[in-house]
Amino acid sequence: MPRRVYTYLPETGWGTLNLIASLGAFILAGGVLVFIVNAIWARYAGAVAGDNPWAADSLEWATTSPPPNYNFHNLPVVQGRYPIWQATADAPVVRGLSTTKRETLVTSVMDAQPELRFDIPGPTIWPFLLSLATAVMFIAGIFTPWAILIGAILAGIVLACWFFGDPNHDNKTARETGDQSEPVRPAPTKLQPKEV
Amino acid sequence: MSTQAVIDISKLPHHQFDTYDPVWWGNNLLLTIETSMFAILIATYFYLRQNFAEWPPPVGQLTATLKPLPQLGYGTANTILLLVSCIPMVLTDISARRGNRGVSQIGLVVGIMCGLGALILRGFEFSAVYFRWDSNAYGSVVWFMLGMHMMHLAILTVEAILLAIWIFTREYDMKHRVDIVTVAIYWYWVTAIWLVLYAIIYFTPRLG
Repeated sequence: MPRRVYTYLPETGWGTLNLIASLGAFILAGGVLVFIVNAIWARYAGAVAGDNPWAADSLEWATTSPPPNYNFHNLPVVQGRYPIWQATADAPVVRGLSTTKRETLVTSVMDAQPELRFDIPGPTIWPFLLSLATAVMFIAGIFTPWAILIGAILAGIVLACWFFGDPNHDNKTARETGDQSEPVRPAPTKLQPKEV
Repeated sequence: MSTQAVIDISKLPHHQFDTYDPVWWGNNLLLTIETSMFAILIATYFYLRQNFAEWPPPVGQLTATLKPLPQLGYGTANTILLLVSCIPMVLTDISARRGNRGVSQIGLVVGIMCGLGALILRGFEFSAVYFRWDSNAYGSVVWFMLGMHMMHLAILTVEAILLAIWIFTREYDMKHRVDIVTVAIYWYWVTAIWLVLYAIIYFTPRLG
């Protein structure tokens, strides 16, 4: 390939392949253009799509559009293969997650039986400092191998601070933090909906 | 307002042992990744060995008849120490499940002692290999195998130290009892991986 020549020379025999690749690039660009035009048109002139405009059956359409940042006020209970289509008016909901700290529901894999209210970490600076220590370790590691050792120690210190600096810790009740001679077992029988 | 059926999960526990807990899955999947990393390392070791007429390569011209095998002493001592350290970790594991704080504390402290001892012995193990990491391909791969395992040993020991500090100075809660069981699984894994590496580093050169 000679310098400062913008195209393939005839003797390379790549002209046709290059043409096909170029056409493909224009087709892709056309597709992106249609998407952009559609997005702008929909924003200013299109009909407003309400909740679940397709009458779809899956759970991501079970909330309002646009969704609130908590997605569901109460977790819906799936009643069949097509959750929204098969949902009845009195479909049970899940209640009981904490309102004072972050929790998420952990269920069994196949039957989705509720098993745990798992603690989700609260807002904390430590993950950011950990990524900072990692970034410094790898960037400085270009110049000296000692950066790996020092960076690993720094990351270890940050991890230790993260371990002891759980922002949820002070919100826990005595029941959760006290000594328990017997482990808490999940409910032996399946949780059944109750009328309230 | 019609009545609505509610599934009340407010009485569910926050943490539970083994397959219930996301931490158990996270730890075991991490160990799966690390196991395949060690498998690649072992494959590298045998690949490099193929390219050498003598393994380990002979030292210099004058001592060409001497086969510089890694000395067995420190490696064997470390293997025994790691196997013995599984005893306090099994006790810690069982006591964390039963909720016996005192046994967990003793087991963790003894385990940490073993971990620190294994780290010191590992330092001597490097000197029991006749080559430095930059001497030849043999030195590089053996130092890397010893070093990668040492890294896991160090992380494991630090984890055990942090957990011990927690259960000595703070509460003995379910979250950290699950953590203790997780560290115990990690401990068994580090020991099991070492048995394989020990056999490969110290004994495969003696076979052929």
